[in-house]
This record gives sequence, structure tokens and C-alpha cells, in this order.
Amino acid sequence: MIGGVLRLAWRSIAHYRVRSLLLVLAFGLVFLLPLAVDRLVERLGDALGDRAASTPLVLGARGSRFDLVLAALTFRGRVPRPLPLAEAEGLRATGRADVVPLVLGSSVGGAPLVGTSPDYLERRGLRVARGEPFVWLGEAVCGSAAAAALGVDAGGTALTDRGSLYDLASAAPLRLRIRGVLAETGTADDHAVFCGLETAWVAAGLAHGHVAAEEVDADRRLAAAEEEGVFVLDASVTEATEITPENRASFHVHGDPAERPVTAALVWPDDPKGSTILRGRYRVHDTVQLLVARDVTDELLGYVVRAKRFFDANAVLVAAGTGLLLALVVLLTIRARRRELDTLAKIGCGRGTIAAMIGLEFGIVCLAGLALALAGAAVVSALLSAGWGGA
Amino acid sequence: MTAPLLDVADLRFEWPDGFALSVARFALAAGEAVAVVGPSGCGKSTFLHLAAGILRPAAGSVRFEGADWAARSERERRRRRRTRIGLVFQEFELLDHLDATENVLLPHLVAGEVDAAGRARAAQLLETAGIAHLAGRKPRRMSHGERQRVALCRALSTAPSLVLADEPTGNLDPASGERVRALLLEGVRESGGGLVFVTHDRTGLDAFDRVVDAAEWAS
Repeated sequence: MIGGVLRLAWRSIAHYRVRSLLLVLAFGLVFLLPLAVDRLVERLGDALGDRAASTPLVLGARGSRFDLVLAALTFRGRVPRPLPLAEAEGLRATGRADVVPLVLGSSVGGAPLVGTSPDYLERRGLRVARGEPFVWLGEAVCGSAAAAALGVDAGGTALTDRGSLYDLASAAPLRLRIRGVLAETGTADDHAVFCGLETAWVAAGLAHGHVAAEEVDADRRLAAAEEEGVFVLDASVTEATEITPENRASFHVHGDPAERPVTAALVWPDDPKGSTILRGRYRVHDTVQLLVARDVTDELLGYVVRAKRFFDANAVLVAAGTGLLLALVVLLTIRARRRELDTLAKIGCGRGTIAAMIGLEFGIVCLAGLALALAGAAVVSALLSAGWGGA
Repeated sequence: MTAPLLDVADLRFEWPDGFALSVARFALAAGEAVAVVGPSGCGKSTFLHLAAGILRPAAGSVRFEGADWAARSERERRRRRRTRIGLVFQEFELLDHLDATENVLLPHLVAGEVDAAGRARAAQLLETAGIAHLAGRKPRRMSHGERQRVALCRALSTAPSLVLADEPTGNLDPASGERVRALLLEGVRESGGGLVFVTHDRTGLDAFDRVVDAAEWAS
């Protein structure tokens, strides 16, 4: 009997296609938001959890622990204050942990530029799929998604982004030489561009090189002024925007090397004892904090889950309202198709069969709406999670 | 002497608005075609609903194939109506979302009993009715005469022992009406079943075995 009733229900759905389509869309939209939020939170939890689990400790300047850990794990967001490089070097000098500093803040075509040491690639298990790892100043390797977005491959070049179009004092864009492209990992690393610490400082304007004065046309006035033996150069002496083997030696950082800023440092203790000792040491530190990444992400996800409950409660109310509207549609449909249903009853169709037919009709529509919502939620969560570089 | 296919005795039925139907005696033998004639409002359609076991009488009995409808369970009444009785309505009552073949197969569809033999019979009925070319067409794209012929095929699709036709020519032009009447009589006589043909139109009654005047049934 089910086959015949299913056929009748399907024929009715196809015949009243506009009504059916509207109902499918209505159900799809009602279920889309809670399902998308659910998938997104799940993806966020998985991505952050896995990332945090593979990053035991994060060192950074005191301030928001969430900002620090998120920046260190996903390369997004900002930390309020940088960490002096000497702090990271000091921690490494204890001999209790491996320390990998990160310099963030610059970007390449929207992809975060991550200044770090080659150890980072090894620690994260990142494999160079094409080309070579970065070695020299001005060289970089791209994550797989970043390379695709930038349209570059090993051997190509990419320009860093200028901070602000109207900020004339900001660092000029730096042309990076892309030495290689990393294999896809499904993490935030896919969306980033990696280079050495010094290269990141150049991109941020903290280090720079000069075109040698003797190479400039002698007719041009290079020295705009001379005060107490110090030459103030004319503006025509420009900063180099590309690091080449010829000008590499001219690049330098002014100031104390120990004070060079890093955004954070990833810390892999040698053993649990070392971890405990290091955490104890920084617990009372005035300017620096050492955080257990997993604890911070768990706390953050706890807030996210609490916020999600509001969405869930809202979804329940909306679903209840939609259910009532569906009941109204069913009642109106029965009324509009009274003659058809009477005919079925007259020729010997049972009330149960008629109810099954109507139920199947609306059940199929609801399932189609749910399928639409599931597909939409998968697409939305994939798009959004790609946006924040997770999963 | 064999029992009548349909045997109505001392029947009384009342609608809530006060209309009452009284039939002292009506019997139909297998293979017999009877025309029930009367003016609008005399209770012809109500009589057909009682004969089909759709309505329950206030008094009297309606026996079909030897048993009173009242003695049968609701499930059994529905099953008998679906498999042993063919109904034809004045307004055709086809399902708009089904094509002609599916409408003919409707009694089988609701029972989940559509098989190759059923489909072949539906095709044969449409062929006999001269509308085989409309097999895949939906009712809205058919003329009234074509729709009624599809409804006729639906009524005959289960090879019923009794066909109850309620003003089946009422909405048709004379030529179409004549064709439907002829098809109905031919179909019933071929199967050896009985036919109750309700109409207010007195044309073409010669073709029936008997004509019953329903004018006195209403009160």
C-alpha cells in the first residue's frame, strides 16, 4: 500500500510545485540558522581544540589571554602589546623547552604573514609540497590555500599589503620571493604565508635597507642638510622594496636587538616537569604570561557554547512557530482538497490511508527542507570557517 | 431463485435539514441495468450513497451481495466498495494531479495493488472508451466528455459486480452523454454485473432493462 500512497503523495507534491517549493524553502531557512551555528561551533571546537592540543604553551605579553592564544593559533586578531624577543630567548635559555617566536601583523593579499623560525615548519609537521623552505631574508613559503588565493607558486613573488593607503609613513610594500608552497593540512597554516623573523620585521617597517648613495645619480642633491656632522638625506633616497642578493647586506634594524618585538612564542616543554616549572615561573611575572593553549581555548569555547544556547532557544521557538504554521497549511490544504479526499473515501480509501498520504506529502516536503538546511549549513560553515582560517 | 445483487427494503434516511428518503423496495439482479429517474432533489444521489454503503440508513436494510451493509465492519465496507462497486459521479471527481491512466488505476493505487495486469486493464479500458491517446494527460487538459469517460474507466477498472452512476451524463452534451451511456451499459453487460443509472434526463432510457421512478421517494 505504501508504494501507491507514496506515488499519490509525490504526484501531489509535483502538481502543487509552487506550494511545495515555498514550504521546502521555508523549512530550509528555519533549520538553516541553528544547523549552521551548530556545525560552525563544532568545526570551531575541533579546529581550535586540535590546534591547541598540538601547541602546549603560548608565551606573550600580559593582556587578553584569548587575544594572545587566538593570534598564536590562527594568526588572526591583534595582541595589545608585543613581547620582547629577549623574553622568548630567555625561556629557550632555560633548556626546558623548545621556543618558536611568531611575528604577526603584516599580510600578503589578505593572507597573514607569519614571521617565524624554520623550526615552526618542523614542529607543525608542515611539508613543502613544491619548491624549498625559506632560508634568506625576503624569502617566504605559502600555505596551500594562501598560494591558491594569491595565484602564486614556487619561484613567484608576492607583495605585502600596505597598512593604510593614506598612511604615508607606513612601510612600503615588500616584494617577497616565494620559495615554496606547503602541503595542505586543513589548519590555519594553509591560509598563511611564512617567512623569517627578520623578513617580517622588514615588512612591518621595523627593519629596512637603503639604496647605496653612491649608486644615485651624482647630479641629484642627496644631502638635504648637514647638522653637526649628521647628513639628512633627500627623500629621493628610497627604501628598497625588494630584497635581492645585492642589497641584502644593507638591511638592518635600529635599536636594541633584544627589544625586537614578537607577537607571541609557541613553547613546547621537554617534559611535564619542565612545563610545570615554566608555568610556575611566569605565573607571577609582571609583564609576560605563559598560557596553556588548551585551557584558554576550552574556556573560550565554553563562552561560545553558552552563546549558542541562546540561538538554540530561539531556534526552538521559531521551529514551534513554523510547526504551527505547517499545521495551518495542512488544515487549509485539507479544506481546499475536500472534494478530492471525499472522492478517495467514497471509492473505498480508508481514513488512515488518506492521513498517510497527506502525512507523506508534508513529510517529504519537511525532509527536503531539512536536507536543504543541512546542505546550506555545510556550505555556510565551510565558507565561514575558511574565513577564520580554521578547520 | 438467486438472491438479488442489491436488495433494498423499507429504507428510510433523514438528513439533518429534515429531508427524508423512503424506499419501500428496490432490487437489482446481476446483469441487470436499471435507470432511476426523478427530478432534482428527490433523493436519487442519497439513494446511491446508501446503496454503496457510504451512508447508513435510519431504518430498513440495504443488502449487497447477500449481506446487509450494516452487518459489515467499516473496513469491510471500504474494501467491498473499492473492489466490488464502481462509482461514477456527475462532476467526474478525477484527481487533478494524476494523469488519465493513474486516475483509472486509483482504486488499485490506494490499495497499493498496481500490477502489470491492472495497468494492462487500464490501457484496455481507455482504448475501449476511445481515449487511449489521453493516457498520459491530466484532467485539466481534457474536455468534459473525455473526463467522464476516464471516470467511467476508473469505475470499471476493478471489474466490479455493481456500478452506481450518479447523473453521469448531466454535464455532457447529448452526443457525449449518449456515448458515455452506451459505454457504461456495454461495460457492465460484458462483466455480467449490475448497473444503477441515476438521471433526471429521460432520453435514452430504452436501453435499460428497467426504469424506476424516484419521484415518490422524497418526503
